[in-house]
Amino acid sequence: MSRRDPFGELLERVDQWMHSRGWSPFRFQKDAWKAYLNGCHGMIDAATGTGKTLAAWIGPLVEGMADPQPAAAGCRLLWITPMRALATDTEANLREAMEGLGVGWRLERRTSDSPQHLKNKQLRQLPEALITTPESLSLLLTHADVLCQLAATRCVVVDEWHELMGSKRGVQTELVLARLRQLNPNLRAWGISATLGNPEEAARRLIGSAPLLPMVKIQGGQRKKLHLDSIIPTQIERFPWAGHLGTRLTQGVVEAIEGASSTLVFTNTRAQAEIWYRTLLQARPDWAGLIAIHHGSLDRQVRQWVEEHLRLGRLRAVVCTSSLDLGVDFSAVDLVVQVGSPKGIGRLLQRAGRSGHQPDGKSRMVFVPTHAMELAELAAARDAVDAQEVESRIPPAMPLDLLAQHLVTIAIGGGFTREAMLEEIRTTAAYQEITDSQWHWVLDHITTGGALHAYPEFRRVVQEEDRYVVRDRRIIAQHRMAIGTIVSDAAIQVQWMKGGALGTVEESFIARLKPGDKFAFAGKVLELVMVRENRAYVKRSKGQPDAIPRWMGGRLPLSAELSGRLRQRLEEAASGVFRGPEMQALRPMLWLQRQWSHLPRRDQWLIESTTAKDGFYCFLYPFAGRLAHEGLAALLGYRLSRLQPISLSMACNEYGLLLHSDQVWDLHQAIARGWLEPNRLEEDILGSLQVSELARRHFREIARTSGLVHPGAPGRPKSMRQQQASSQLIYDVYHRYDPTNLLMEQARQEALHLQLDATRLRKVVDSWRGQELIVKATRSFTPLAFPLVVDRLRDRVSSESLEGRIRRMQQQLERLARDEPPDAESSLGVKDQSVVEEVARATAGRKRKG
Amino acid sequence: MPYTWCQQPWELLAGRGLYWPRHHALLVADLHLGKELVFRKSGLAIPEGATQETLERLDRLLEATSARNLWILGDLFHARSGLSEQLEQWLVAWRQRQEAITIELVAGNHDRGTRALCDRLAIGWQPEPWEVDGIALHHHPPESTGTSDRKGEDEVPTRAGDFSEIEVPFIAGHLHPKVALPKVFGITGSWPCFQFSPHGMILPALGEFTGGQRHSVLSGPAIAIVGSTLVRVG
Repeated sequence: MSRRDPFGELLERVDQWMHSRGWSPFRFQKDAWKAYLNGCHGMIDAATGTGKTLAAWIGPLVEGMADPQPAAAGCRLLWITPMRALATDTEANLREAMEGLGVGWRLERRTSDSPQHLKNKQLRQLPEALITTPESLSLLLTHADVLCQLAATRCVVVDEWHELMGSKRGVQTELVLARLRQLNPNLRAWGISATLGNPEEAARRLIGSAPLLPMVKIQGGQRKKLHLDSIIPTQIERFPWAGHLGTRLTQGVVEAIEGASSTLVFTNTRAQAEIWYRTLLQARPDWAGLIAIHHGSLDRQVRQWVEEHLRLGRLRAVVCTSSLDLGVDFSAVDLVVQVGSPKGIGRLLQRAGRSGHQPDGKSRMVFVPTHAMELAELAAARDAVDAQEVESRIPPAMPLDLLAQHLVTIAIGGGFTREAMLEEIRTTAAYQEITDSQWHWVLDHITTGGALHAYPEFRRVVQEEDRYVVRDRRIIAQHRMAIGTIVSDAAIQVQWMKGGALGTVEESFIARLKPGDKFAFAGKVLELVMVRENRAYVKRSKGQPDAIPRWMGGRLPLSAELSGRLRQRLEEAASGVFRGPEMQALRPMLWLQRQWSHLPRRDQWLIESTTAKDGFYCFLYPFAGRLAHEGLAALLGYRLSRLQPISLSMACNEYGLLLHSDQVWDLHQAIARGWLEPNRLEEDILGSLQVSELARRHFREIARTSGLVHPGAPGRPKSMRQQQASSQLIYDVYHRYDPTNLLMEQARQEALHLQLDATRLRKVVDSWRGQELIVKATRSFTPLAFPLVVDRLRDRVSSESLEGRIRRMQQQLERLARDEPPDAESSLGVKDQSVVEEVARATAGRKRKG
Repeated sequence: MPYTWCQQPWELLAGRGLYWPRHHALLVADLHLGKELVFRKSGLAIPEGATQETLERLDRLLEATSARNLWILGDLFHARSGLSEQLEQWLVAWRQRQEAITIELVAGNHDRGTRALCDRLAIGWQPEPWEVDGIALHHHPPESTGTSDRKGEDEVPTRAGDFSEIEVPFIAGHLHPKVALPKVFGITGSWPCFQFSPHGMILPALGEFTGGQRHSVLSGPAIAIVGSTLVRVG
């Protein structure tokens, strides 16, 4: 192309600058720069620490050198980052190259952390390059006067797009991009993403459904070499149960940390992080001050301190959650420990990639199983990593709450006309297929207060001739505070008596504590002094805590890809093949499973049933992840209750589910009468009570996003208190007086798909016909069944007594397996009975307690 | 559910009211009429229905108890800005249905600016506390040494007190108390409740569109309202 030549000389300058730093440009970086300068959209698939930032940044810089514009013309480049914590680091990286090349742009950040005077200055005159978050950019669109400056934007870079696109924040980014494309049709969008299972979707979401410019895919540099190890317990239980094994492997973890210079210990929940931090300190009291804890409920200043010290290489280890999945590169970190299942391959790679940031560094990960079966998951993950099979990220389906929010945003920022706006939002992949009636419903919702009635007193968006605008200053102020889709749980701030915040815990946790109770939080033992106005005042304490807070949410199910690989490994085991140390370690357990019941192949569906003194147990093993199993349990329970009056209790884990009832029912007959039929699947799940309860919970986020409740911002004017209501309350009012409301429908759909994984559930139910159904009546709980039995007990029995009970059950089953070879059926029944009695006792204990 | 408190018989009603047989009086609190209008005025799309439902609840309570007096312990209205012609029409119609009843209101923090309307509806306006037969009727519960000092009137004390230093036993509203049932019931969520101590009683909120909070200010038991059933907790 003729346009390439003017840039040739400038690109040479880039080469020279990089060589002066001792670098040389990678092939993929050069490809990215050229594609950008040729006027293309782009998607860069590259891991962190491989030069992806420069790949996206140099193109716009070179263009800026070739085609300078007066500063007053406005913004040239927007850099969207998913985390404001990342913005500082990004700015430093961008600045280094910008100054190295002698480009004199203003480069600034705009996030919720930015000082107000800077934000005001930016409103008068945007910098040439602005680093921001989806929320802050959306907020910028409420200022009509900056639109002409935004129209000058030539390029939007979306960093960590894989992280955004699977959430409503991704959809929010799509809507903002649509607006920017409207302002400048030649806008180029560049995404930076880790490897995904659905790269086509990722690209389409970024550039919209009708792109005017071509799209180029850039495959990033070499993947870092990954070294995966697991800590295998010396003795594997043949009857494993979740949640207790981990801390018994503390010594192994301590040794691993000793062998590294700086370690990130990832756990799957915040409560686990608190437990592991305490356990490590108990094992190595001399590490006080050298190890730290980091999770999303800790106060921002506490987290910043940890991040700062990690960056400086001053910490031996940090116990953390997904709060450190993303973010700044900690070059000192040379080991990652993963406690418990990584749940997915993408997540495992992302976490492992947090180590070995030095050039040609190797990522090292040590895996700590929390129960024996997770060893098989790791073996499966190895296979998937070798095959480079990574999960897809599925974006949310057309969230109308977010559309309502966005329309108010645009109405504040200069207004819109009906037809043009509909056309604009249909250019996003998310709302490409919005129907006219959905569109009108959302418009009515924000203008008249509802489709059913037009309430005369309702005021939000008003129509002035053909433009939709907002005039009420209070509504504008409220809306600006409410922009975004992240909803934190009703949180109580934990604070020292002397002042100084530690973080937040859920209101329901504090409600259970009395003043004087001790709890573990932020790696400390704290004593509750009093609760006042959404703050829990605490003082330092010592000894064993009475409680550890648990936080809702964020439970990722085992991914379909990982589960597929796991089933493959089990299938191998069924035919006697045990590859690798993990599978070797599991051999006795899997052997017993095969002897007592069956080890399912991938084309088989295993159902076990067993009768015990306290009732009838039915186990199904679809290996479809916890969420889909919860959906399936709700479905099967509902269908069973329609076949016969029955009272069921349920338990689910990543591999299967348990239905327990006091009375025996005929499994074969139920199957014959359509218990597992795929017909009427959605209707039946929706019919079960569980969904309405889950929808209620989901409505919280929807109410907040669509502006039905105001966020509880600190320092909020008192006059707004009269409009405070909980989303639950609004849900109840809607449920009663406006049940066909589309936001209610959205809550049901989100509950179905996000909470019960209906897509996977549908696959499971559809698949069973093509598969061999294996129904086994077993004489006692099998190794696969045991963890489900424990999970069911766990809900009922206090944690102190639970551990002892499970131990005894385990020992009895173990004796059964050892003393009596399972194939000799002689006196099984008698011994079996003692186990059953144990379960019955545990259940009776609960009743006594009540 | 009959209940003895301060050596007197009372009737706790699952319809969220308290009946005082000695005075043929129905006591309720926190109706928050017109709340949905207040919301809509500030751009929150809340559908119609809650106010009428609250008034119908009140009808059912009056009918069930055959009360001659209705004593409202504050927050009859949600806010002055929620008063509309429509609301007044409903209220006038309701008052005509219940014209035989004497109504007194111990005005609450939300009732400011509604006195004229109360006069038109023949609802008496009582000072707080309004002492009847040795019992002080409040909207806002009185202070106890066990509770925190309040900074603003909408902030709520969050520690349980026994109110033993209080000389006159009281009945109050304002707090919209709720309680979670022990796990054994197998029912999650929290439920509106009556809260007790030897010297105080807090009534549940009658309003359909009212939330609630779980922190108890009283040291005694709570009686939860689960559907049409009353369950003692603690």
